[in-house]
Amino acid sequence: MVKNEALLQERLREGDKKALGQLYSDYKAAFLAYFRERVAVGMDIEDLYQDSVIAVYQNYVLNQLQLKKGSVKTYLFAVGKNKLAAKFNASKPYVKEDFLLSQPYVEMDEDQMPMEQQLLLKEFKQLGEKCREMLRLHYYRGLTDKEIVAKTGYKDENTIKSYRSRCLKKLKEAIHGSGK
Amino acid sequence: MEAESDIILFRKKVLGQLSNDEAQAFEQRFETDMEFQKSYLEYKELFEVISVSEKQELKNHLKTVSEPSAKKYQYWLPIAATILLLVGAFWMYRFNAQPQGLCETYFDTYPNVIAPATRGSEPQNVLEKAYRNYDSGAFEKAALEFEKYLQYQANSDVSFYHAMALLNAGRLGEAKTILESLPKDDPDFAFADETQWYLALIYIKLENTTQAKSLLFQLETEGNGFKADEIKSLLSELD
Repeated sequence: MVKNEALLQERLREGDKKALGQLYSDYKAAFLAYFRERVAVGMDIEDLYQDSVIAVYQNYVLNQLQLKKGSVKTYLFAVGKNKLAAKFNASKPYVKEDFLLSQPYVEMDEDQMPMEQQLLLKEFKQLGEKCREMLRLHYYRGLTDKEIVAKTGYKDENTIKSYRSRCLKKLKEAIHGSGK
Repeated sequence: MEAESDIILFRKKVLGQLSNDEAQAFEQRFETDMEFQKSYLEYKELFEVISVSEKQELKNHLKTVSEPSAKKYQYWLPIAATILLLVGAFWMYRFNAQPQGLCETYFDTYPNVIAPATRGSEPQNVLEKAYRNYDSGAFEKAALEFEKYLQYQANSDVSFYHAMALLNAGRLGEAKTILESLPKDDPDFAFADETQWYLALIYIKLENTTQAKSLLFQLETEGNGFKADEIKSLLSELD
């Protein structure tokens, strides 16, 4: 069990989508039961669950999260409680676990972005699959060019650099194009 | 282009991981070094955009996980397997009728990686229908629908699947013409290597070994690793 848990966390840090699926299925019933009992009305608990799972997953990928204590499940429930508290405009998070305080990455949503950034998002989604992946590995996953070479099989770091700048150029041109 | 050390700083900053000293140094540089400021703002903007896009994609992904029913999967599996077998048998039949050997040994139907069917939902437009038919092995129908879509909108990725549908329907000549017209180094075209690979197989089928070999050599040296092992062994067999 402990070994499985460690393996799950390792896979989450790697950004493994199957691990995300496993996380989602494993704790769904317990999470829904727990929160349904505690939240009165007008709250979509399934939605809360989905958002919490994604937040946990993104935290593993982006911060390479290593839990110092507690399990993935405890962490997931704590994230759920904080999201719930934020939703009801509580001034302080409902639960303050240490490991939460050490993870200050602020989540963002599309509707919180300024117009220009929303446009950038729109054009980013229109890019070809390979360009999106190239930008994703650099800006989102935070991999170095050397790591990207190892992961993708591109020839060398210079190829990666020039490919990425071509993709960026394309993105910028698209924004200027649609801004006209 | 920014130095790797600056990128590490940008990363720490967007994730809120700078130490107090680092944060102070960062602010100072941010105020005085315009180039640094510009680079960081661009990094941050893209980081946020891609994080949000990723979140939206993950939500969609979870929808496919969340639908109940291991049962449904089990129900579809034998059907999928049967379709695969039939497609395989069909190809064996075609190629046995015209004994050529290598092309058919190395041929496999390229999977639909663009629009995998979501269970339960009806296709909304001609393109979705095309991919749905492609998935289920109705290649003639798929080819027709891809063609319809392409009449109004040029798109290399869709053209590639149009060619794949034609190829699977046994219409080699038409597939070849399309594949030959696709771009070779457009970063937005996702299937450049795949295009070369299938073109090479068609050339082999048409007994144009020289052109096939030249494409395969090019793929081997400049490609991104797609079918690397197959390319190597195919080349040795062609010698």
